[in-house]
Amino acid sequence: MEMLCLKDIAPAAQNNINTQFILLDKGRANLEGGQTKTCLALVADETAAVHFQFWGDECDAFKPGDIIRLSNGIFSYNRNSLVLRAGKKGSIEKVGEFTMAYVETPNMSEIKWVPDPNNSRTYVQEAVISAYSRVFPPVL
Amino acid sequence: MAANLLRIATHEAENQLALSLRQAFLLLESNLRPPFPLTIPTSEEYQVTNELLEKLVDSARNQLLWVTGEMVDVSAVGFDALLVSLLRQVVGGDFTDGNLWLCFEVATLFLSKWDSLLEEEPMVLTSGLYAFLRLLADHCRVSSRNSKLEALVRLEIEFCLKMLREQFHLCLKVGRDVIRLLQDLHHMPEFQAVWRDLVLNPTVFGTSGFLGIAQFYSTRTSSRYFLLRIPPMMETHLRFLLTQVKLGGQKRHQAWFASKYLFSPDRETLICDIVRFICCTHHPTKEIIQSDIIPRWAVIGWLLKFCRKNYVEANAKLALFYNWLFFDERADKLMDIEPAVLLMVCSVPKYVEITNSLLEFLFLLVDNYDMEHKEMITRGVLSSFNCLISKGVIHTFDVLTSSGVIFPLLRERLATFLLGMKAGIAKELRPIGVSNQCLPALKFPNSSCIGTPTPSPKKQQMGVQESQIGSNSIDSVAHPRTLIEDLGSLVQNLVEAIKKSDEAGLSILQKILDLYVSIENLPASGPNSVRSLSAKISKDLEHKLFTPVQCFLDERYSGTEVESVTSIIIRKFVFSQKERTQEMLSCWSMDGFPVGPCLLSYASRLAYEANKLDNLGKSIVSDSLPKLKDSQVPLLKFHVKDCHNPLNSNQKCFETFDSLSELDRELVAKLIDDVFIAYKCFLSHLKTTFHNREGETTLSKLLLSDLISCSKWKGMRLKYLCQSLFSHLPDLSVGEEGIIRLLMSCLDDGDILDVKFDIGLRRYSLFGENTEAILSLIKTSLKWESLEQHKFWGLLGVELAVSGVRLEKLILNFFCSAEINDPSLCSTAVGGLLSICNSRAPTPELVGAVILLPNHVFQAFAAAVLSTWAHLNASLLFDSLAEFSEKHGSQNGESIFSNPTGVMVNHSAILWLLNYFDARGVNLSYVLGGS
Repeated sequence: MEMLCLKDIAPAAQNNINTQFILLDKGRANLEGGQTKTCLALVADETAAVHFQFWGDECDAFKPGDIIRLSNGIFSYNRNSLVLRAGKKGSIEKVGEFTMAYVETPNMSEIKWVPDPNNSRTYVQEAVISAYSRVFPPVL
Repeated sequence: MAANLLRIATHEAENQLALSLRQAFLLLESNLRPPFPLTIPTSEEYQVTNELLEKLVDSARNQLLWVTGEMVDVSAVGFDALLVSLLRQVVGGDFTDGNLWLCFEVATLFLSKWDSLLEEEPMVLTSGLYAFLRLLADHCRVSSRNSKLEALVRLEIEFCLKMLREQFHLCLKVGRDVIRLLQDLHHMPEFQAVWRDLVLNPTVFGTSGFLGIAQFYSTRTSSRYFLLRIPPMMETHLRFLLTQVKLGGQKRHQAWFASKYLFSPDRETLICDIVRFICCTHHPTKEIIQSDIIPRWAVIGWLLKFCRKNYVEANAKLALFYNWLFFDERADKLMDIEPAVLLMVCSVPKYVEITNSLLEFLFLLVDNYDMEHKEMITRGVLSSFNCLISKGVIHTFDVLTSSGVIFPLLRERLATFLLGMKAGIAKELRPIGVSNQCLPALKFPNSSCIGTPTPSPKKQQMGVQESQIGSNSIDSVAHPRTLIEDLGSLVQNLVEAIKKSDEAGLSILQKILDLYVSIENLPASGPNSVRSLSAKISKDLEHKLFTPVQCFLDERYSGTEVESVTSIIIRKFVFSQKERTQEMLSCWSMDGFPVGPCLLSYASRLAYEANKLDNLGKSIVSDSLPKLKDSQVPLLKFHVKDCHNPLNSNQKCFETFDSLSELDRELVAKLIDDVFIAYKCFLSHLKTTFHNREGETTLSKLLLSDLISCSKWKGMRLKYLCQSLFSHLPDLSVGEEGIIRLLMSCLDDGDILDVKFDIGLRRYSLFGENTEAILSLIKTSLKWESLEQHKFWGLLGVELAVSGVRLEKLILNFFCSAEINDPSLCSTAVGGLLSICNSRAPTPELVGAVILLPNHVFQAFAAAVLSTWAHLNASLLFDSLAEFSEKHGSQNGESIFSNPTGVMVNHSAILWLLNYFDARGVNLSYVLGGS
């Protein structure tokens, strides 16, 4: 199983992302479509940060500082925002806490992606919308 | 059989070690029957206690403790490491059942296996001593101990005393930190006896060659003892913080660390253990030191901020300086003493109060820690300074000896002290500092002085001899003469500084206030009493002190007010919340300075700015701050900044060196509330101190008088004052006649309209929900100017529409009161009530009240109201009339209108009803029920 760095993920309609990151910040939980609880979060590893969407009971199972392993996750657009999440086929597990260095820029969710002119099935980076997360600003 | 060992939370990965243990168990299961092989487990196999104990399921924990005992019995290889690992798992300052259970079990193990331990691994007993002395200090401080904790404390005392009395030579091997820990216990009778013997009767310990405490002092405690009080997971996290996390990017890790380990006040005592660990156990490599990783001193500076209790803070500082006191270049390590000096030096530019307090503390230790060994300690501190310079940790002490921001007396003291070093004389016994001169030379050995940095209240209840010494030492700490004199000299300098420039004056004032707040006790009389100090300061500041603020609540409000003398004093008062600052403000207030009005207008200005901010955007997150800075909230900005200032120690923020980034709505709301609460405290203090004899004054009256003063200031907008008062101090303002009258007389129509909007939006209430109080206010208002009454009724109407006050009760009571018989007096009020009734829906209760109004001079009132209702909402009116009639109808079902049954119905009402129905050709009793 290949473990990806966050800086190497790109949007795709596939559940094939295996990676590990530390949870930096969590937003308030929402009810998506009035049904399931979701919660947007900022996660990061040594190479990049990204917005992660917790789903259902995941929302309460993790706290900032937790180190999380994502198996078969998906990085895609959800209601117009680009988020990493486990999805129905993937899973997340807490594997530790605290002992992980991280960076908060680049944020993969704050990048404008366009279809690759050479291969329409993949996306490439076009522009940086914001260096840091606009939802979870860095703590200075 | 291979059941789960650990409690695993949802979404928690399976622990790799637990997994391999389970696999190993399956592999070995067949071997677990006699005859057993005699293979020896390796130390790695004890890993389970290090990593997993915390999460082990209860039965596995029990078995682990049992098996440990068995291993001691058979002297299994490496059992000492297992015991140490168990000791580390007992968390300091944790009073949960599981932790106390573990502590109890381990203590029992140490006592019950005493002989085997002594024979096989005597050094593990010294680990037990260090751990239990330290844990005992936490456990014996709990005032309400339950039987479990009581039993545990007895067990810990038993073990520690057994060690000290029977195996003293082992204790001696631990070194100087034994004394540091014993000192925390010296209020306990059991340990007072040990102290006496240590000082007076060292031979009683039966260790040949032991001549006194100095022998402990000269032995550096090995770093592994400090690890005993750092649970393995915390060690991992601390080491990660100190080797991987970069300075500047440490905020999140620090916050996580704090929320995991320092979340409750009980856990504060861990700080001295962590400081000891950082200084003496975690020695970074050269590469780390030269990198941008967060340095040790910065982490310690951050940790010191978590100390809320004085004794915890003193213990943490002692932990930081402890090796300085006995430093010997040949035996000690430079890295142990490095963090303290760097913390002092690096704090000068931005956090000089840390430098001042550390330097002050260091000299306190030199003078008072153990006067019997003062020479040794002076030598130790001198060699520390010497070594730090010669090894290049710092290049010069200039920053400490010549920086203007260091307290002058400390600066001088340090310079003189260092002269001793340069001259190569290690006998700096009579420095020019005054602290030691105020202490009588004590003939009795000074064991009790050892505890001086942290006098506990219990100390005063000690035996006679001790208490004598104890109180002397307490005095020397609680009245640090140097600080008081510093304060005196700063106050003397104030007038000169003011002459020089405003800035210089403000900076001195700031220092005076900092010092004033931080000194524990001030003399009751003399030049340094509160009374004299406040008189001197007010004389020097003359017209700058509590000047009526121009345009405080005006758009033209100028930024210079933000940093005025008044604002600085107010902020200090709000943040320190000390009796002492109250006293000083009260003194000034009694001297005629408008302290109250200034506080009030400050608070209102803040509330006004916060309100503005609230309207600006829904949430204030960091990225909106740049905008905010330039916008018009200058006072709030400064207030928040000052709140984050580490000096204002009551406002502990989680982040140490923070600016405005944590700003959010809740914080701002809390800050504003705090200012109003502080103002209220000021009023109460004023009332109890100066007005109690007159007896009459209430807080509301004091508030009113401040409000009147404020309202006379040029540019003051009473509307804003009123808005913030009623929102933040409703208990003092709602329904208060004087305040409401003031508003009616001073607010113009535009302001009144704004207040009406606020009331309609339920931002606050002017009149409250108490019908009696409103009624009495109405009666009082009858004597007001007509214009005031009109405004009053306008506001009351709006408020009654949104409040829960029963209008029918109000009307009935008002029309039944005696005042109503004077029509000239009541016309405005009745007019007000009329429009209020007219605007309401004719509910059964309201209709009932109008029908039952007494017949008096305002005869037409009831008819007029009914007529309006008939016009606006006829159907509801008649439903209500029917309901009313039914309720008051006689037993035989006849309507009270056709056949009165003793209920007094209002004439005009019945007349109007008859006319109304006649005009429509309907019989009234037919309409209104009957049967």
